[in-house]
Amino acid sequence: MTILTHNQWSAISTRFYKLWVVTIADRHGWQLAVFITGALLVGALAMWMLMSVPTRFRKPIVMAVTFLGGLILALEFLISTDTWHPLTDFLPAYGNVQMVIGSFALLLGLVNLFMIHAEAVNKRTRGWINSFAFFVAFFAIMIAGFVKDYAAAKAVSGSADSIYTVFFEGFLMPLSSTMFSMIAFYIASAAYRAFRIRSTESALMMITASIIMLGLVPAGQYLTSGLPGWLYWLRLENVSYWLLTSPNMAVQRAMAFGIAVGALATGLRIWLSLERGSFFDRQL
Amino acid sequence: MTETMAGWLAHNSTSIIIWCAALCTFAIYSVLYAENRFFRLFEHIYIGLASGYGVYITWSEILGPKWWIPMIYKGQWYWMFAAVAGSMFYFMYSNRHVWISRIIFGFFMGVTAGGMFRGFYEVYFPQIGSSMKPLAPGGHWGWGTVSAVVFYALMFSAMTYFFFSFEHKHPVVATTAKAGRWFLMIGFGAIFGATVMGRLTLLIGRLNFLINTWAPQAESDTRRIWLALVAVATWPRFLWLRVSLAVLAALLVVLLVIYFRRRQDLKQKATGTQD
Amino acid sequence: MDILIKLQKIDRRVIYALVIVVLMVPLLLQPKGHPKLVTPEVHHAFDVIDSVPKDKMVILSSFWGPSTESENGPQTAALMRHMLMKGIRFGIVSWDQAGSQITYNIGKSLEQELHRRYGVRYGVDWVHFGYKLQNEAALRGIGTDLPTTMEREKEGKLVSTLPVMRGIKDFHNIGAVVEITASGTLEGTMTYTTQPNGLKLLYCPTAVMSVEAYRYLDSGQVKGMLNSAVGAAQYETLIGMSNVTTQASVTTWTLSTAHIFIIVLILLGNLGYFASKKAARRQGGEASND
Repeated sequence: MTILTHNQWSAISTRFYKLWVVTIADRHGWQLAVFITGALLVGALAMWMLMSVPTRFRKPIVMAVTFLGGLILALEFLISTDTWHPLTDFLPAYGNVQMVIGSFALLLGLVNLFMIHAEAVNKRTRGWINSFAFFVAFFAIMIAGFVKDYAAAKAVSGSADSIYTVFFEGFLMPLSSTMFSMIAFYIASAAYRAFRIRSTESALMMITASIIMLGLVPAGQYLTSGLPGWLYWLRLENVSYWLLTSPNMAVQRAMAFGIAVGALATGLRIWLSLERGSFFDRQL
Repeated sequence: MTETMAGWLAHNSTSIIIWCAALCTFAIYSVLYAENRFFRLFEHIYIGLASGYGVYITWSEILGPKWWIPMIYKGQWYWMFAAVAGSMFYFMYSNRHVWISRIIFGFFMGVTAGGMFRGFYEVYFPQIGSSMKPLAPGGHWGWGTVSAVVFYALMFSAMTYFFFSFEHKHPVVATTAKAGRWFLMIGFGAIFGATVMGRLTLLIGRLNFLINTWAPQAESDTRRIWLALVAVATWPRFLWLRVSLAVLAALLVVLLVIYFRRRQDLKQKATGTQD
Repeated sequence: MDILIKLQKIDRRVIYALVIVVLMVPLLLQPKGHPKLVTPEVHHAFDVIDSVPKDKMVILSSFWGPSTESENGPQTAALMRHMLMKGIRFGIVSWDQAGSQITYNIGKSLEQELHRRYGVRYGVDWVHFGYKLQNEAALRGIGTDLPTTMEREKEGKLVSTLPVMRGIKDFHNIGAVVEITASGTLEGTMTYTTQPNGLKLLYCPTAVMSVEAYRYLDSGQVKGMLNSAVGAAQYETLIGMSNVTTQASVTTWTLSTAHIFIIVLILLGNLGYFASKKAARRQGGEASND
């Protein structure tokens, strides 16, 4: 039995390296088409192999991928020093790959939305006109965006930019802002109808909330502006600031320490695939 | 024609945007009075716009420049494997092979979980360090000491409240935990006050738009519309427009009369057959 | 007493209408000027930005969208304005889809406004890196290799070709990172971008999340904070806009009446509640006597 010498190892690794460099080299023209088709076929083969994996190997595969996914960031932190951090330089490119792969999930929710609204339009169920409006809005802004980019790329002047701006600033932005702003009405209604001071603790909570609400705005500053100089610490803005930076800060820190330990434990359980729950325990 | 339209649109886009934004705002706020079709329609339009915009921006700023352009125009063919990996998400819709989507989801969950070591170290170690407040900051015993003692009392009592691993039987532990509950109310009160402020700010933003952007625009546009109506009604050059409008109005009146008479006849027939 | 009990049954739509009326008054009156009080955390944020050297860049990490535009929009505008006026280079990356366009529009409108006086130009004084999908490696990459991580800016050009990115490579060339967010993304930026590289971090949250940030201010992990639109108004005071009416200043004045109204509502609601409890107890006592 012969052991390979250093030179032989060197020669083999150099050959593999050259083969790797040649394989991943940029291609153009018909070569590009061939390589892309080849990559697709390799991918399809991999998918077919995955689909043929027996049930007992599925969970181990998922566990292995989950572990490997976390290993890079974990090792990047654990093995790096001030002067030696081999994995850190690799992270920008890794981040780009993650961004691209993650972006392919953009149609995930859309498939469901399309199925629901297409059925409503098809069967002319009650409110089908709303589902039709969904499709019109979806394609209108998408097409307007792409046409605007195309016009910009070709340096063609026209109404594409204006139409896109009308959709974005005239519809999407105000609809989103207004939806969220409705919470203010519900808070006001809840403050009147639901916020009941039934105990001393809730009274303390209410008093703290009032002081902080008033201390942050000019009205509160005006209310106690008449206090003499030696009582400046009783001014609402100062009391509010003290409440936020002292008791509140201590309490938030105490809560954070509890959350931190829990998050570390949960993170470890997810990384090592020890987590239980409907998603994790589902039969593969 | 298209150039005139493009020019008109570019010239009036601000006004159009303001009117559309006001319409959207009133449509959504109409639900505060009662559930209505107007709100439902604009709700669906919002979902459609958000989804369509998401597709456009994801392609335009991520997939296009980071995947398509390097793959097709720079010859980096190996980016096709990213599409293969991305396609694994869609096995979620297959009953038989849903587990394949778990691979890619597991990968991303693993990445986030793997970062917890650094996360715990970078976020919480400094927090632990800064919690060790000196009782005599700068070597002086005074307000700093009081402040540190208050801090320790609040933090430890709040932490004691969250210790659920053992029962709070001992009177010292029970009292500390009870005190912790009180101090936690200060934190929750702060959160409540800040939440009220945040939500009201969002509403103020919308009302500010309606009052200080849309209302002046509406006033100026309404003035222009009135001027246009007066011009159409009085200027000799618009005689053809006045005649056409008069003919259209007469036609509309005739059609309405025919429609309502037919409806009355149908109603009478229906009641006649019932009798 | 009876009126308080009757008011308990008031229709919620009356409360909604009252909210609108209460908020409309200061919006119609448009009080001039900014509030005079500036909190220490806003001062510190201003000092951090003001002291960034000319050869370094500030990174604005923006994770907000149209839903929190009233809070995060003024923050973004105030910071951008300060940096453009002072000639401090900055790059803004949006991790939110719609936020990408909104922050770009804010930058462009400020550029138009300040171009004449300060000669501000896109690509020279500031750049928008566009929308990116946030992930841990990308956050880490901001501090280790910014041009590779961002790659292209919003208009499609390679960032490495822009004059604004000249000499900007990694954390040595970054003066500060500002996290403008409506979500819990502060810890991510802290973990991967600022803490490992010793970068200064400023925080611009919505009001809901500002309360939890005081522990980071205490530990020094966050150097300064702009709390919602109120913080933005205070920052505008520091950059010399105290006599200009802006969205932030109008919001701050309007919040005065709004907060007093909410406190009055809570008090009235509880007074009515106690009154109805007392009346019920009295009725119960009379019934048992009978």
